[in-house]
Amino acid sequence: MSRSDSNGRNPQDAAARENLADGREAATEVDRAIGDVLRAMTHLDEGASDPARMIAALRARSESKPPAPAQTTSSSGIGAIGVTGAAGVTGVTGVTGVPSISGSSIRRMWGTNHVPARAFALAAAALILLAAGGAALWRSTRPAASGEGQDAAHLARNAAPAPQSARSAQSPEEWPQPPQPPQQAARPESPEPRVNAPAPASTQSAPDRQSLQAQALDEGTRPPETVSPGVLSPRAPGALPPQGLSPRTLERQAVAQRAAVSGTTPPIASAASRASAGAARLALGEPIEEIAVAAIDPTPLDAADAVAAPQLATDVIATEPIRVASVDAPTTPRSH
Amino acid sequence: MTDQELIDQATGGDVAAFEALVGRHHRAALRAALAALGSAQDADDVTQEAWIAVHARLADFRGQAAFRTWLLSIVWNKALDRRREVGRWVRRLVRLDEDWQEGSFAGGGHGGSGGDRSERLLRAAMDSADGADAGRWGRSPESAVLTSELGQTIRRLVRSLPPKLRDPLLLAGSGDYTYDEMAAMLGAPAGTVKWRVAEARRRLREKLRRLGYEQVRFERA
Repeated sequence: MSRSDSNGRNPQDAAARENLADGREAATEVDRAIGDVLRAMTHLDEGASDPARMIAALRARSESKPPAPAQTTSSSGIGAIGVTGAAGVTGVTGVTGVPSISGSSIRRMWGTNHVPARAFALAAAALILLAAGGAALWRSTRPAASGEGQDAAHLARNAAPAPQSARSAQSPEEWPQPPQPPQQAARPESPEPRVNAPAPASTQSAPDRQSLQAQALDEGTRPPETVSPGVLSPRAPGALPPQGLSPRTLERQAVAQRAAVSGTTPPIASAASRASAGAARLALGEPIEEIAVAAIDPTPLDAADAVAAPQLATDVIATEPIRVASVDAPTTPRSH
Repeated sequence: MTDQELIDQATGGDVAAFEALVGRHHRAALRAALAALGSAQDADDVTQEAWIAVHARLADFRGQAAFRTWLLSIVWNKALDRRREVGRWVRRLVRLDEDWQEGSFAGGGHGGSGGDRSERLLRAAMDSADGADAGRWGRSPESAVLTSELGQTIRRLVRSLPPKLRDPLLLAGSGDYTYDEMAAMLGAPAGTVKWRVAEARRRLREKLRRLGYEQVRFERA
């Protein structure tokens, strides 16, 4: 039960109000401290904010040359210290791509008592030295490793304008043209699209293929390997399969190859393709019995099978489409 | 002479008129850049670039907004570009302490060489405040230490704020800009800027309260 003072107010409420007032005052005090710190954080020295200083700087800038582009490395930049100083050519290793970390900033950071700043300055300086050493080593060893023929090109590249820094001082018309990529026209154009191009490890020798291609071009016919070399040209044992083909495709090709050798319809084909293939063979005059039996059993017919073939063929034709489930059904689920 | 008259003369090639514009608005531009970058040196560079841009684009100024607002927007955009530069943020990160004390705080001749940073911060904060505020901090060593710690804590908390809150808070804290000017600089409505400033202050107060700084009055008493 609460007591009341002489004014009829609850002392606890009064204390609460006093605490609240204290809290408000403390909050105000903190607010003032925040305001003071904010003002101090944006405080400007009178000398630093002197407009006359800026006017003088603007005048000096307008009287001087226009500023160099940003990619130009300053004399104290990382390129000057690291790459240019050691190798004589800027931009060889691409280190000048990070010119914002300049030598002056490293010196400034090193001069502070800030431990992370000093560590960063040390790491940056080590990186610069490493890049410079690497560039020098690369440039000193590369001509010897490349042989005599590379020396002329190497010297010419050294004599050529630097690709990044020196270029920025030139007009765009004076910039050296970048080396052109290998011309597509230099490669003999193939008249046919490449279908299942064989791997480099093909058993067909290169001169033979070239001679066949040349002969085909002369005669206006298709070069033999452009038909479907992965299917028709047998691979030697141990030879690498054609690149870029899935195992399922390779399996289909192998079955089709066996079917082509045995003279039967490839059983791996779909029902529609088998039906069209069957129609084609029928149009060529093949007995319908053989077509139907071959559609069911791709193995070559022997004499016993041939006896039972007519009735079977009649049944099969009546129950189209034919399914060769053991071959058509995917053995593994597709991953995509 | 109004800004527009100076602009007209400067557009006609009068260098003195342009310099008069610089003299009139340079401090506000520099302080805005300082609020964005935290580095007096970077702020100086950015402001110089901004003045050059203003000079080049002075003929494009249509007078739809005040020249000062237009200038501050250019300064702020250039400061943000500078802030985004790769590598510069690293230096800014490690130089924040140095610049916000040596570049801006050390103005006015206080802060002797080798002096304690917190002590210099305290003196800078006291000097930048008016006389009543300065007296309010007290002069006893205990209160000086406490206030110094408070100042450092506030500065650290301000720096930890997200830029969306920190930028308007610093601009508002500088006391140089109206909310309309800040809205033009920040590219947000004035109401949004007001909310961000209030939210930033609220977060600072909350963090300070968690750190026990609401008792500052009683410690000082």
